[in-house]
Amino acid sequence: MAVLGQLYDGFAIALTFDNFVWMIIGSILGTLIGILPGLGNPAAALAILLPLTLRLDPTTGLIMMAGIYHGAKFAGATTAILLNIPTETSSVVLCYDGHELSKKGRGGPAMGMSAISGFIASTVGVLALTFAAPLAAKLALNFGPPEFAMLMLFGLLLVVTLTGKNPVKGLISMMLGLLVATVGDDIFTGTERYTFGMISLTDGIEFLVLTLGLFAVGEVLVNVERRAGKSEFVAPKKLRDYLPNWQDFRETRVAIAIGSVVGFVIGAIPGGGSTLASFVSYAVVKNTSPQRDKFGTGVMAGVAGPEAANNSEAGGAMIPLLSMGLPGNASTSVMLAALLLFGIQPGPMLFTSHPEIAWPVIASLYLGTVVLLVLNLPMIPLWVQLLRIPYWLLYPIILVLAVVGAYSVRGSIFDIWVLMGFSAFGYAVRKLSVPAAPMLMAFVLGPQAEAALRQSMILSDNSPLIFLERPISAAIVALIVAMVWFGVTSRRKQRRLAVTAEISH
Amino acid sequence: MRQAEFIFGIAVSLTGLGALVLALGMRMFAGGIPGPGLFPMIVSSVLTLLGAVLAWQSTKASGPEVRAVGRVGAVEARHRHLSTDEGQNTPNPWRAVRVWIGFAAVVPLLYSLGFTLTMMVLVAYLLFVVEGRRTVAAVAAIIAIPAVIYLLFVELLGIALPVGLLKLGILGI
Repeated sequence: MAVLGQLYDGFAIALTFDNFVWMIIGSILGTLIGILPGLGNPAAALAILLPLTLRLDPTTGLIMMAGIYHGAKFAGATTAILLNIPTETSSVVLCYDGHELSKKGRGGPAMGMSAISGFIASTVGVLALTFAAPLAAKLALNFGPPEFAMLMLFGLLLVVTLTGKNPVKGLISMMLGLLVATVGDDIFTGTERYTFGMISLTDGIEFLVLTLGLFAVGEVLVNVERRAGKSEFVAPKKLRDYLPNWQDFRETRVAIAIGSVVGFVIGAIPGGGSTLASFVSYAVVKNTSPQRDKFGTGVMAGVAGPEAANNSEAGGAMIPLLSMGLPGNASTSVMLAALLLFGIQPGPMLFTSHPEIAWPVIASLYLGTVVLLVLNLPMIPLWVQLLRIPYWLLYPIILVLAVVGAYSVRGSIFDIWVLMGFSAFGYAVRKLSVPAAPMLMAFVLGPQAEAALRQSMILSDNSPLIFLERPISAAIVALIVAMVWFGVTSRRKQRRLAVTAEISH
Repeated sequence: MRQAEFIFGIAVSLTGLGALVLALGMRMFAGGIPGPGLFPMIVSSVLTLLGAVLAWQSTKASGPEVRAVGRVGAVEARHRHLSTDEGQNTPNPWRAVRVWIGFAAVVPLLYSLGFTLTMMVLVAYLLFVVEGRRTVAAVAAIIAIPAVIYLLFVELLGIALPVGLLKLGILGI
């Protein structure tokens, strides 16, 4: 019951006038940036607005980030349903049925269902988080450097092996992130690494610069390859047309329940992420539905289930993020970076040493979906009009904002050159289908991973067997092996099925 | 052979190899404690190997893209486009190169012209040269975009942006 009291305190802080206003501003800005064609990735939206959030005090800044995150997610669902354009991989499944519903003239109710199922699932996620997070924090107290090192490896590999299309490319992205994270002074010894004598590199590569280059400018460079015309789509004009009917609710209640549970559980796994949550949710909802043969042709449950998972995943993801400092995807990597930039070290002690940070952030995740439901849903007809803004007008704005973001970190034009470098790299990897998210996650986790590894070696007199000798660490190693085995065998099976399907066509 | 992937794989391997050589110049252990070179050595070694694997993979025939969990839908095209116009023109990588070159070319101007004027030059290049739009709307965008962003971030949010040598005191120019 003590946790309910702490959650109540969290709501009380989140609902102060200043915090609530900034949460609304975050939701609106997140939706605005998220819905703009060509930028909607929540990680990019968070990165672009990071200079603003960092100006606020930590609690308010993080509450605003929760609002931005939800706003961008909501916007991502909108573009997936209306335009068949997923802004991040977790929105891909929304295209299967969401866009089909849009083609049938039911895009409005699909978007409404996306918001409502998200709200319900978020409620479930926050309630589960309230009780699970302190338990996880207690469990994390038993974790030492070997356990954290293996857990980070597990989280990074999970992203690459299960949802990546090419594990080798995903691993390359991850290793590059770890390598870039070593640039600068070694925190243990002060030795300069990979600075090539440049003073500007002694503090390392700035996180915001890397993110803007990879996710914002890199995306622009891919999109400008085509001279884009106007986005043609049909969207309802009245709010009433965005609301699902009772038949929709009857058909989706099981899907919402499944999505809520699946999303939370997967989000709670380090590295789980919304991509895995939405894919697994879609698969489970489809396989348990009496209408399974109709999935992919425009079934409302095909929207409700994944969206529920997407939103409850945010609650689950707070468990490893806040209690262990382990992000599940690119967006939570940005939030982790923000915590670190605020000078807050996530970990088991966060709930005891900074409850004024942890609980308001948890409360704001819930309040963010309430804001979306009450504010953004009625404004959908307005947001949808933003989709008609031509890209030739938008991408110069994105590039100028990227310059602002890069310069604002240290007031150094060198960082803008670094932005140029990462934007070219981001463009190249996108063209080669190399995922950028593992690089970002690895970059954020890199210093901690290295510290955990070195501390483990110190504890064991430089014997790597320590990772197998400690029970929790050994169990995580076993999980890693099982996960890699599953990934390899599942991929082989999927490839056989895909080849068979190609031949039969 | 998928040429671009092969080249990328080789480039990754060479990067890993270069990083490995530099890491070997750092201390692996000092007084029995892991030194600054250990982690970079491990990472760069793995990177070198992965680059070689990717280069080798690119020489084999590619099969359908799959995931271990979830299917790969047709919507996940590499070249995502922003318009649903059916008369879509084909992707032209040179447009992206031109945008990047223009972006890189204006960075040195930040020292002398400051943020606002430099961004006006950038937006003018993008709209007039890359997009070929010489309209009133484009001119308005060239002036408004940098000015509004400058006012928003500097005046409203108090974030410092580069100021040029002219020091006219208007919009940081």
